[in-house]
Amino acid sequence: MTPAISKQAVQRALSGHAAIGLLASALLYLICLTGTVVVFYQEWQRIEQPDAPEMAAITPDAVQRAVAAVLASEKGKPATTHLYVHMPVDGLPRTTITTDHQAVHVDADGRIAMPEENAWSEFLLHAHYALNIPGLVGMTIVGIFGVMILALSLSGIVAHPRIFRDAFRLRARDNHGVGLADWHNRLSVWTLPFSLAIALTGSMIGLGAVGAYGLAAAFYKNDVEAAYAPIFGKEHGADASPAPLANVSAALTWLASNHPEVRPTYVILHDPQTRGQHIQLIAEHPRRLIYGETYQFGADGSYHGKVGMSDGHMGQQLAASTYNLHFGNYGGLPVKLAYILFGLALTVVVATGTSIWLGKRQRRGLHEPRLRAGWDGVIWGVPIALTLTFLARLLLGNGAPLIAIFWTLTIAIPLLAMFGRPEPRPKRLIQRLFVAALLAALIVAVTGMSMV
Amino acid sequence: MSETAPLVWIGAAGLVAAVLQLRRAWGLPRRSAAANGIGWALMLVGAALALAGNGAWGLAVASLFGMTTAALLLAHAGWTSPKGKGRASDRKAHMLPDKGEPRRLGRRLLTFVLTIPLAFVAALLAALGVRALAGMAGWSEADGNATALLLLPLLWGILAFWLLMLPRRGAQCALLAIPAAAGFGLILVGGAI
Repeated sequence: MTPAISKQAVQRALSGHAAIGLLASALLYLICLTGTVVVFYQEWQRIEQPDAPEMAAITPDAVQRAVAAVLASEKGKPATTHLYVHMPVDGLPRTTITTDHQAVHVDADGRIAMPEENAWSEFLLHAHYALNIPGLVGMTIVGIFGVMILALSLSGIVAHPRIFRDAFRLRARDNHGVGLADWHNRLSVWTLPFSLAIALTGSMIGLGAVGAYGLAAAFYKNDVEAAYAPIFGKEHGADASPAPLANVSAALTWLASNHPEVRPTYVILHDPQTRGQHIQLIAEHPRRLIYGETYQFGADGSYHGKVGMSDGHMGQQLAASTYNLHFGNYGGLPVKLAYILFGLALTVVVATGTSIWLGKRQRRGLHEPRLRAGWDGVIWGVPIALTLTFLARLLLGNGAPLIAIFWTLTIAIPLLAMFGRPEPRPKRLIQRLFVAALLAALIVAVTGMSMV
Repeated sequence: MSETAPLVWIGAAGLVAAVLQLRRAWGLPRRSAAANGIGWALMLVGAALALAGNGAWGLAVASLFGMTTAALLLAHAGWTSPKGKGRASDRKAHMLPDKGEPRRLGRRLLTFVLTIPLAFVAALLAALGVRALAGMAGWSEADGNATALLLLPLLWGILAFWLLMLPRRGAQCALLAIPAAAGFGLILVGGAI
């Protein structure tokens, strides 16, 4: 393919591509790598806490008993505003109840079994979602990086006029930067649909709050909830006066008999044990990209209608589809494995982009060992930091300071490489450290060693 | 996936065939519009069939087959490629100055301000403008709001790329001003503010 793009346009696209790529490189690499690892979010939770009770399904009555038991265990504490029941699904066949105060696993009979301990999985998800920055700031920053991937994809295509024509040429054994450039360009082309889908859905999720604030300011008199309501449904008014516990069992029974084709994934009980309490069931629809439909029930378990994520307005279906499309949980293990493969490819594209730029400068006679060592520290330091946080979780337990360990290592390793030992090039040394960390984590995970 | 519509599998097969055909077409000694066309047509038909079979889910699943086929072909190309003597590109990206070149920090900072915060503002105003237009055209609030949330990152990404392609500051400012002004005008007409 030889599109009619002028040399000047190609050069400007290359400059723009490099500018965005280098500006975003380290954090974009971290976001892509954590995003790839977190595809197995459910599996990581099972590895973290292998002895939690598992079940293929749970009866509505057992869920009712479990909800009552959890609320009874919180007597004397401020009333929880929301109670979530994670229902057993194929990837995570566990029933877990989360309130404002605790998260516990329950057994198939609805008895409280043990506290949920999935700190590493949660840390990993939050690192990808928000760089572990609390509030909406982190999510928004990650959303901006999604926008950067969109701009990088466009500029990359224009900067390489032969990128499609050469799409199957991979000179993997060439030195002097040819092989590196081929890996970068080939993986970019063939993961383009995936990268665009991931970038667009990721930036929609990340920038969703900013967009909603904009919508609220322009159309809803600054009421952000009102801006979300046409898509996700609105919250009911609260009435805090006491009332008997809502009939969750009746709601689940209604869903099972009226919609046997769907599978409940979450029960959400709003303002439990108050007169304003109501129930929402989120249920997966087979062969749909939407995360689920929200079925609404009153406190007595009577059906009040659904929000319309499955068959309502196109906008609702679109918004509900962004999450599964982004995280790859719409087709079981085969789709997850494909997401790991393409996520890894996208991570390699980001990593090789900066390496190509450094290589070009080196070939032009610019000797910059600190820059090179720093980038080696990023590429191999982030996986080391991730692996060591996992090791810390296994050895020190659920309370290990994972965020502090991860970010200290992520920042310290490149700095040490840059200023401690930029020459000889520290790449091999850091790679060996990564392999050692990986082996240590593997041994500890397999043997079940723990210091707590 | 036991009840997956047959059209999804046929579409997936079409996408696999499309990638194989493009591999053949792009490997020909001379460019063949017909061979390329068959490849792209297979891709379109495969995608359309998967979409018709199980909607967006079908398309997403089928596209994974196409990309996996390409990944396998690439793995084969990488595995069998001989050790070459090709010379890598030295094209300058002009990201950092070479020795003796001015740093032009002010110019770089201005480019950053135009591409990140100002392009964001322009994209947000344009997305909200489309939302206002959708409201005036009788779209539901859900469709209008979701469109705005989709357009915000999409327009921002396109603007960031386009701005970097423009050689003059005036053209860059115009590229930001036009969607921003149009969006703001539409919000004033169709919004609540």
